Amino acid sequence: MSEASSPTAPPRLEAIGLSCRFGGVHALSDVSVRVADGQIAVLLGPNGAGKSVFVDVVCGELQASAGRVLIGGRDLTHSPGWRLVCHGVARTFQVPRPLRSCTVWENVHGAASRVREPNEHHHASARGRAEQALARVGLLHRRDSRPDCLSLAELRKLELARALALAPRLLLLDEPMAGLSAAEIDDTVGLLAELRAQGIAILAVEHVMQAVLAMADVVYFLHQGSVLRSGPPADILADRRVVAMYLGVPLGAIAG
Amino acid sequence: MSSALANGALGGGLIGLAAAGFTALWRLTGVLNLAQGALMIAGAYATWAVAAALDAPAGLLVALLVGGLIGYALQRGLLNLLLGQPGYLALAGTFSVGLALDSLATLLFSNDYRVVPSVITTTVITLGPLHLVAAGLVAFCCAALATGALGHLLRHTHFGLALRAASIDRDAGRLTGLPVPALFGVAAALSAAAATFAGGLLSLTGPFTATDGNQLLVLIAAAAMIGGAGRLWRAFAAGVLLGAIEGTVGYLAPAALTDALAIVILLAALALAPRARDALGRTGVGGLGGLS
Amino acid sequence: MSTFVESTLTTLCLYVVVAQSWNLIGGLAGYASFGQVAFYGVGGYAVALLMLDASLSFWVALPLAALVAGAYGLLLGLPLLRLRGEYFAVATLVAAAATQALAAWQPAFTSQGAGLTITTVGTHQTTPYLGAGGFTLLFAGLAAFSVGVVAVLTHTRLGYALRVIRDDERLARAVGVRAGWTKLTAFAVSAALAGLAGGASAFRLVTVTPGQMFDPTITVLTIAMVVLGGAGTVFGPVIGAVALTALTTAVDAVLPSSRDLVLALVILAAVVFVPRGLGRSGHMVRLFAPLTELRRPRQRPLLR
Repeated sequence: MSEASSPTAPPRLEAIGLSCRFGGVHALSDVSVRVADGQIAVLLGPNGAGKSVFVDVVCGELQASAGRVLIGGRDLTHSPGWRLVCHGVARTFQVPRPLRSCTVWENVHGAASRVREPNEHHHASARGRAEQALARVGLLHRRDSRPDCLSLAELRKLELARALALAPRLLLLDEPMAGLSAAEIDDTVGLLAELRAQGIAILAVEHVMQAVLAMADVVYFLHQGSVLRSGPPADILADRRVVAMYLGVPLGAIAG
Repeated sequence: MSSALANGALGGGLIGLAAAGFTALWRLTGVLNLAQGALMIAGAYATWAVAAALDAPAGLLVALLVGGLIGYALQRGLLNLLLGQPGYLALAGTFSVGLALDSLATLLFSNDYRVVPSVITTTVITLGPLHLVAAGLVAFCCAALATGALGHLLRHTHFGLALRAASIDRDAGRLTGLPVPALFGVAAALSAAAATFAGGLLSLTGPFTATDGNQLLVLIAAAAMIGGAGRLWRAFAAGVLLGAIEGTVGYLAPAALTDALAIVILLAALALAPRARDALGRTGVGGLGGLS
Repeated sequence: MSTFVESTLTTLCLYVVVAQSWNLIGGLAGYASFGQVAFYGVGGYAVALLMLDASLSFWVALPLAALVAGAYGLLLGLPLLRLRGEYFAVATLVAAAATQALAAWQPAFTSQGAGLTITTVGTHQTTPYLGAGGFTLLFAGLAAFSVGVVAVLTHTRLGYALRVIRDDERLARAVGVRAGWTKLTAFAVSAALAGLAGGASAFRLVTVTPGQMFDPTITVLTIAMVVLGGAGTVFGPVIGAVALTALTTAVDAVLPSSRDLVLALVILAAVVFVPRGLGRSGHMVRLFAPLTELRRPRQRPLLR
């Protein structure tokens, strides 16, 4: 956090002019996004705008055709995905992907044991981190369950716990609240705010407006693969163009 | 040399037919039938036994029948039960069916080489620079026709359409009233009949023994893998190609090296072919496009 | 101990080693190898050649053979582990056949397929033959070692990485697992274990031939043991090995000529009735499930 407060520290995530093409289709063109430590940025946009593609490119899941990805000032554009984890990048998936043959605890503990923290006994720290992550999301009581027995809300919590177990400094969340009830959304928003207070940088793809307004520090509105507007959430949602795109109606149909 | 290549290619046609059957079942039900080599040998014995009593065409007919029965029983009794289980179970199952057929053949006929005596076995036809074995030529034509018939059946008939529909989505097929288990059974019967028919042709062109099954299986699987995306004629062509390579290498180098070389070529093709890599993580039912 | 008991125990321990070798790549990583016998054979030939041509002691040759088999696993794994599912299975099957054909062809290896005989008597022997009791001890040690390797790997970072690869290979990157490297390591260790088994068997058999050392039936027997016992578990393959040793011993005593036939039928039964293995809970339920599934399509009304 001291890093974050010093003006010279590089942002946790800086994507500069990212482009990604599939054949002739531009899934992303010239997208630039900055997320500082202790900040929550939200990617907003209609379906097919390229939000998930952006997350995949940052994670090394997809190759960028142009542009750079800096993590904490380090250029990791073409690093393989597994190496990003060592640099404090963790992600969740839009459709939860637990290991079906493992219990909740094995899912989280296994992930925790992938990363080492300096000056700690490895075994103990992995165990502690896994426990902490499960307690954080409120899933400790289901530690011995199989993923098949979990509800969607619990699966989303498991995704989050697995990412937290990797001791991330940058969290990439792909629709962490889709399909949750209002109360569950409030819980998640509270948790993300806590994580922000700890200095973790969060980039979330999110559709739930109530959550976006409640937690976002900055919103990037994507449309057809490029950033249409960015800024504080209130400004973005006040933009008539954005609302028109979002609702899929012609611009003139929205009263000034 | 060129004759060796041509005769090898003719022999490869038999592998090609069995490989076409192998590919058809693979694409339709997602199962690799590792008993295909043993089925060829079973067909060879059936033809040999009947040919001794009656004549060769009757033997081939019996071979077709035997293959169909074994294939149907295999699908209904084993493979339908393993749908949705990890793939290696079906592989282990079909391999042990092959093992059972092989050991049955060994018990019944011992390990001696058998051959169906016939007039055309020794006749040689000269076509320009090529000296072709007549029996091989006839068998190749039969195999090509059988492959064509199998392809036509699956692609252009009502039955083929139903089969492809059932294989794309088993549950949807069942809900629209298709008797999916029976359809799969018939698919396996056709696939196995292709193998036994090819085996019957094999018995008319040269000597065979009960333990040849594994070697044939490797060639069949190799041809099917090279053929890849599911078109039957591609598997057939790959079989011919493997036969030609074997024939040529067998002419130039000691016999045992032949298999090694053909197989090394296959491995290289498999590892480098982009098609094989496209199949990454895909189940067998995924790549149906080719059959349609 | 009688010779019969000793030889049965030796067979049992040999089965445990090959079963654990397959379990590592097929059970833990989910890459069903149908060419495991290639490494068994390579290990066997490595021991025979090192003892004959390099005049090494068996105790030096055996670890070296494991290394050779492991290296061969790396060599095959580099191209083959990029394939998945049935492509991988068939590619390994074919690779094993190629290995056998190469071994049968190479005159120096095998005197044209007739086999190699390790010198166990006279002045040229490098290590005295171990005898029935000695081999039982050797194989028991190897079996314990293989169980230990799998147990340790299951409970380390690599074990988790292998489970990720088995359950959801795309997830690997997101949790920092280097999928390619992990698979290759598992395959090489698995190959080395099979090589150990083959190397020790070669010394026990004295004469090695390609047909015997590369018999594809060994692979299927191995898979049957792991399936029967429970793939991916530490002790499942041991249970499977016990079951199949009992079976092969009984069949050899009663019906030696139809050994393969009975074996095939038992593998079929294992695949249909206990696909998840005896070593897992709830297998009794599974035991009857296929029978009910058989009837289900008829019971369920179809929309016509």
